[in-house]
Amino acid sequence: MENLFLEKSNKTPFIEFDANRGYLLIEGRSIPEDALDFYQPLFSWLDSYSKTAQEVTVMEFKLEYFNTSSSKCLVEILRRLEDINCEKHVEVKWFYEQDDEDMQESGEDYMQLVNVPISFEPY
Amino acid sequence: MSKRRQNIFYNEQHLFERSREVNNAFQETSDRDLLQEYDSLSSNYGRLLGEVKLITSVSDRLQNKLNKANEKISEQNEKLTDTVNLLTKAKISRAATTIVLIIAVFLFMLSEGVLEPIVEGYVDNDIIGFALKAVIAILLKPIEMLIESILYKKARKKAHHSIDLNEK
Repeated sequence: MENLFLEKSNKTPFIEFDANRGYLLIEGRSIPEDALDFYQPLFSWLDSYSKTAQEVTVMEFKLEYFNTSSSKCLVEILRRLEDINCEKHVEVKWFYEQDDEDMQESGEDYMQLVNVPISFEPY
Repeated sequence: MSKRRQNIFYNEQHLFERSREVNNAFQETSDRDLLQEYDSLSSNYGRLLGEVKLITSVSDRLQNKLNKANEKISEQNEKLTDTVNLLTKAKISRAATTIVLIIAVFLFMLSEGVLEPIVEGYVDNDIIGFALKAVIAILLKPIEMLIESILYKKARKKAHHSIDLNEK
């Protein structure tokens, strides 16, 4: 299975989905005009990955800002990880800047919504 | 609602349409199928409700963040305006001082070369010549203030004009 790398832009985050290591990273700012257009390849990749997922999958979110549409797409990603977590082990790490309480609280909201363990990592 | 927003909720849209279909075909649907559909619909509704709560909460936080950023920009803008005003005043003050210095030199030459010989021709008293020079010297400060005020008004007019042009 091919890995997925997307360079970051002013409006979209850096994406590193490494199937061999079971390491997934979304980093930066996510304010695309068409969130679904940006996230659809990620959904498709995750759908394929779920069939051959590693024993342990680590998903890291290092977001500094994301818009409302992106927040819905993040739910979709977490839903897919929730499915993978039923058979394999998934760890989600939610990174946020030390003084960014909003980002921390957003992560806590996601934790309440999905059935995947989320750990919080201030930096 | 834009098409883009509808796409984000494509799963939910599909589920909603499915429930409408089941509802329309109510007559041909058995109670058991109907119960299953109802169960599916209610669990999906619960899921959607959770997502809506999350999205609303995220959206509110984004709005707060934007408000805070706007407040910060306004504060910085005010500070910047104050600094620009101070700089403009300092610049104008320097220009006024230079102009007054030139006027002072001109008046000094005028008093020494023209006024003093005239005064000495009429009155044989050094104090009058000295008093005349003192009056000229005392007048320099009000002249400087007057020039400063004129230059400041001119600068403000120019600034307003450039703001108007930018707004247009």
